[in-house]
Amino acid sequence: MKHDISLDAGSFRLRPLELSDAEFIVQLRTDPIRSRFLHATSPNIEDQIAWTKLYFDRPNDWYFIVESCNGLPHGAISIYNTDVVLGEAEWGRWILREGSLAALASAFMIYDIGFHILEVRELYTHTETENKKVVSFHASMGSIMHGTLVGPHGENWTEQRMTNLLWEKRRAEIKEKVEAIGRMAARP
Amino acid sequence: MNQVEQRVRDLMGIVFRRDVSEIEHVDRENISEWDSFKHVELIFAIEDEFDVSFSQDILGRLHNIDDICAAIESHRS
Repeated sequence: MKHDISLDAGSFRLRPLELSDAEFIVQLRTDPIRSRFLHATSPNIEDQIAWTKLYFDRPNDWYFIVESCNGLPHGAISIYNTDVVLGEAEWGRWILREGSLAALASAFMIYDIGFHILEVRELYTHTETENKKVVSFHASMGSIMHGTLVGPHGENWTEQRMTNLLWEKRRAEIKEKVEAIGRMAARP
Repeated sequence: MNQVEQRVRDLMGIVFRRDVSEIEHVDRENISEWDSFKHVELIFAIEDEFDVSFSQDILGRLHNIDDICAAIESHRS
């Protein structure tokens, strides 16, 4: 949905997706290495623009661009599949360009947005089990393994969950790391 | 194996919570525990251990133990 949520952490920022981001999104999501574990994306920028216009009208779906605080785009991340009754939502559509150091900051900000701004009670991820790095990353953040499920093409997916209470226990330590990475950006 | 590499392997063992001493070529591709979170922890541990200070550019290029040892040696010389 069209929203105005922005957040800074360390040297990175999450800001709302705009139509002008279409070319960047297509470049990222059609990179065969970076997008290996994401749903297929059309290489046509007009298709991305059309998708974005539909997204703008879709409630309870928040798409963000990950960028450095000086405006250089690094990737994308979203909160979606919101269940207002259960107070939970999924986060994903997470992709960063090669060499980006925004992983920790972008995940940190998505949890802060989900729990502190959207006020969900629980945030979960569905990661293809073969994507071991991302499964490991979520575990490193403190997200708890919740089981496996079978995806639409028979592949195995791992579900991991973070509650708002668990996030408050993890937050300070992770924030320190995010800020330390941010201080690195200022080094000569 | 020189002393720098041995110390880096020791730190990797602590951060990844697994013994990497027997792995010839330690690389982000062949260590599943070497995710983005642990990469940051590893680099901070290396900076403390060796009293070096990496730029953000270098941080994004340290993908294997050879790169890390070379970066340490470069900063110390």
